[in-house]
Amino acid sequence: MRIQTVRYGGEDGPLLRFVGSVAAAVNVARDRLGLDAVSFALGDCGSAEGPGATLPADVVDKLAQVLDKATIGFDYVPFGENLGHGGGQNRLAGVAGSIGSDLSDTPTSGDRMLDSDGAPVPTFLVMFNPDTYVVPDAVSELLRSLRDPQVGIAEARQIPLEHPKPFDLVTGETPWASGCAMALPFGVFRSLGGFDPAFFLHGDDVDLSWRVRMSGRVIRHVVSAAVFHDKRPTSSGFPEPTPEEECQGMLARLLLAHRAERSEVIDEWLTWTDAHGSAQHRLGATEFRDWQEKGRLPMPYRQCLSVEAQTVGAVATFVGGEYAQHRF
Amino acid sequence: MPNTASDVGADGHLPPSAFEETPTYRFAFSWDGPYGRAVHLVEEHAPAGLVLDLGCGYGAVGEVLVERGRQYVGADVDSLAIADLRKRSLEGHVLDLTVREGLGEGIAALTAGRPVGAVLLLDTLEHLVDPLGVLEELSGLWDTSVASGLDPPVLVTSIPNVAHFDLGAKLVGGRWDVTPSGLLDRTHLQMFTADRIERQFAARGWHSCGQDDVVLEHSDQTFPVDHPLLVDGGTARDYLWSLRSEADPYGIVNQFVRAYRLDRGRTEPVRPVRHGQAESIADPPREDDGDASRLPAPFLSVLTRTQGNRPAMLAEALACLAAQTVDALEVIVLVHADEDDVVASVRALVANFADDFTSRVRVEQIRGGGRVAPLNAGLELACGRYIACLDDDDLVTADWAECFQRCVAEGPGKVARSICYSRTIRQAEADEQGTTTHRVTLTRPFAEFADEDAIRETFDTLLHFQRNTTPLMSFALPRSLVTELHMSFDERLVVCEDWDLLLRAALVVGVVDSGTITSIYHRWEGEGSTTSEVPTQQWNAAHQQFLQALDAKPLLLPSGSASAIARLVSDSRIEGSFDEERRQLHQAIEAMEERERQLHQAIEAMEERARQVERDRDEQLNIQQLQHQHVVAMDERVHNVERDRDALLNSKWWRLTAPLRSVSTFLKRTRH
Repeated sequence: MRIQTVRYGGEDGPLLRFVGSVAAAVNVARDRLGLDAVSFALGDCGSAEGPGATLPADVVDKLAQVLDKATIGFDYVPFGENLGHGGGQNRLAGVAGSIGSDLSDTPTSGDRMLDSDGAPVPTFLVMFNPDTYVVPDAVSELLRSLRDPQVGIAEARQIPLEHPKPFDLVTGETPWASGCAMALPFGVFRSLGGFDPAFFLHGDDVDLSWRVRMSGRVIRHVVSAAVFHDKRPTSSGFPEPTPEEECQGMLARLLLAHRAERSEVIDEWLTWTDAHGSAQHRLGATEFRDWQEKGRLPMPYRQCLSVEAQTVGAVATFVGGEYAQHRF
Repeated sequence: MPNTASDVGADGHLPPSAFEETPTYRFAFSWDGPYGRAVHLVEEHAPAGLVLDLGCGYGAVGEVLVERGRQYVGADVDSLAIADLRKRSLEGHVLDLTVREGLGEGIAALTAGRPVGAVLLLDTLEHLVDPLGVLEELSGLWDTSVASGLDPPVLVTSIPNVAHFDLGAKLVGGRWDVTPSGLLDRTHLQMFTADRIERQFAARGWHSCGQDDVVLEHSDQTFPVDHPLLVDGGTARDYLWSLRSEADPYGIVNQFVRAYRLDRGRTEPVRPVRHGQAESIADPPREDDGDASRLPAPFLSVLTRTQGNRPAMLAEALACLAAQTVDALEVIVLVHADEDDVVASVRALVANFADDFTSRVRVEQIRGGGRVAPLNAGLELACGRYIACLDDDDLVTADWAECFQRCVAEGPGKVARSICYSRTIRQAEADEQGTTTHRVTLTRPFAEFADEDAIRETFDTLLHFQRNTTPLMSFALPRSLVTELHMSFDERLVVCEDWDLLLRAALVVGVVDSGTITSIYHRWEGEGSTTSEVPTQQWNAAHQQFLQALDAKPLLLPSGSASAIARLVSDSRIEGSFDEERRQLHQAIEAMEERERQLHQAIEAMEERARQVERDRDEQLNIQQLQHQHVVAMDERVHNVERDRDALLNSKWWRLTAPLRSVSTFLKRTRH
């Protein structure tokens, strides 16, 4: 199993606590599922001060000690640039992030793969945000869920602020998985080319989830796999997006609509942004228009995945500003 | 040695007018006073042997003890007093307890090898520079007899209580009246409280085996007359008394009269004294604090109640605590269950967490009691400067403890409070993901504990008399309220115990708000929580119950309350005038409703009449229709007859028979 996280700034204390929680959750998973080798990769995008503002050596040492105690291999990878979430995860997983990989011959979760050097690649890929704290049962519950070959991504439940997107109470099936805490067969991730780097901060998880679903697998929300995510509610009951999230959120919405060939959604959001959007929304819209003009937009799903418009329409849904009808 | 006013027999309510140059204390014996009580303790607890009265003064208990078969030996630094003893045929020796060197040998010499049944230190220790040294010497003298299995003497003491309510109340008013004798005898060099006595004696091996304290509601310090803080039934006095009486049960003890046994090996179940983590808030060391006892205290003790029956939720609550941005917290998981295997499963669950967290978690089993029992047990177990609670089905954000810490920095010693949001959940069903140990979230967090959809960011004391907007997990109490005023959750309350304690605490120390949403209260849909299991009537009853308890004593309200109360009264009067208008309107509405009802009845009657008319009309119509049908039928018959007639008249047969009918007609005419 490979566990990955991508850091961009943040304090050392929560990161140390997070890695400690990962080690503890791996121990539980080992006891319950008898895992083979486990490695943990931390990709470092630096911080707002620049890509060179990586973790101090003593913190890296502490992380190494915690992981070593749990017999977990540790790769600390300073990227030297800010790759964003998806780009960082791709780099750590050794996936180029190419768009439109062939969907056929996707290995199942039980298959063993070899990398270009002939070394075995992990069976499972687990990704967490570094501002999380993993409840001890979470990793084993996610992996248990992946035993079902139909499951393309197993998503953890976030606490204390649960994500409002819907899921089937019996099967756990959900329209998309949050990249905050998810597990998937490594082969699925690789065959899909990983995250699309067009999505820098937001929407990469929705895009990956949709591609997984268009490949015939399901996304499962695993209630019994809880992960504390450091989100603080405002008076609305939801967290307040940061300015960067607001900008990237708008860009992601437009990119997803573009890939789904939903021009009316694009028009609607561009119109709304021009009339009511914040400066950050307009920034995201401007970037989209810029890409549009320069022909830099990612390929629509139909083209890159060779799927029918009906398949795309069934998967890629837009409800207001969201990608499904939320539960609350 | 001098005595307190309880034995003076003088008017203790008046301030002594002048001090004598050389005090001489010659007090009378009374069975109700400390001397009589001391003799009782000797009889009750002391083994056979002489009674050694150290600091005996004029030996007020000498004759009484001799009369009761005890051999009495008095010792005092006052040679005149000793001479007086001897004159009374009592054994007396001059002994200076203030000189530590050779003191042990001196005391031993007094016994002259005779077995000692009791050592008396009556109104003596408070006059010594080093009273604890005397206790140490006594312990040293009889350690060997304890080791040899022999009965050591019982130590009987009488010590004035410097924490008597009268002294504290007057000190609040800026008075400290030293008197020739009594609680503040001018020759007192040491002041003792019950706590100091217990700690100091226990530290030297002397453990209480009996007590017969002298209780005086009005001590010799109850002066001047009409002191505003001492007026019986006065609001200020009653309020101060409500605080004093919560601190310990000795507020009106004038004299601690107690017996002690020597047992060096016994360890008292005394919690180590913990001090605040930051140097700036560390208490100064006390005389009996060793280095080992000065353990660093966490900022926050978190009490987590669980019955062990929803492990998934407990794990999530613990994850919230593990993810706190403040490390200086301890977690006490209070497992309210009699079954050991339940506790074992909770321990196993905790052990699955990372080491840096589990090292700060204690799991304690709480047997019996109601739902409040674990919380009170937790208050006793807590070591943190502050105490907060998080039940196993609730969740908090990562800055929950940090926000409390911010509040404490702003208002040390006050109640720290944050905002709590609520959301509705239900128990997962068996066929749903995650099984029944999980919850299903039904709503996003919402401001249930807010006022008219606005977040109630600040604590409103007056509002909290009427309703609670501060659920259990949204406040932290200074532990000093527990250690100093012995505040705890009221176990008589079935519900609302958190509301009650919060209010009582707030009324004493006040509240500081963080203004941040840091916790989520889970309101259960269906079964699973007190809100769903306890009927509204019980909530209301509990509310009334703790209001009545508050009614029993004066209230102290925070600054700004005067205007707030005036507004409340004004609002209620406006409300009252509205009530009259509302009553008249109500009457008018009722009259209109009555009129409407009558109109409805009239309409119904008219409608019934109309229906009757319709019925009659229909009946008539039916008759007409029947008649019409009959006419038609008759017409039809006529028509048919006419048709038959015409057919007959036109038939061939009729024509052929015409001659016959002519003949017949002719014959008929001719016959007539």
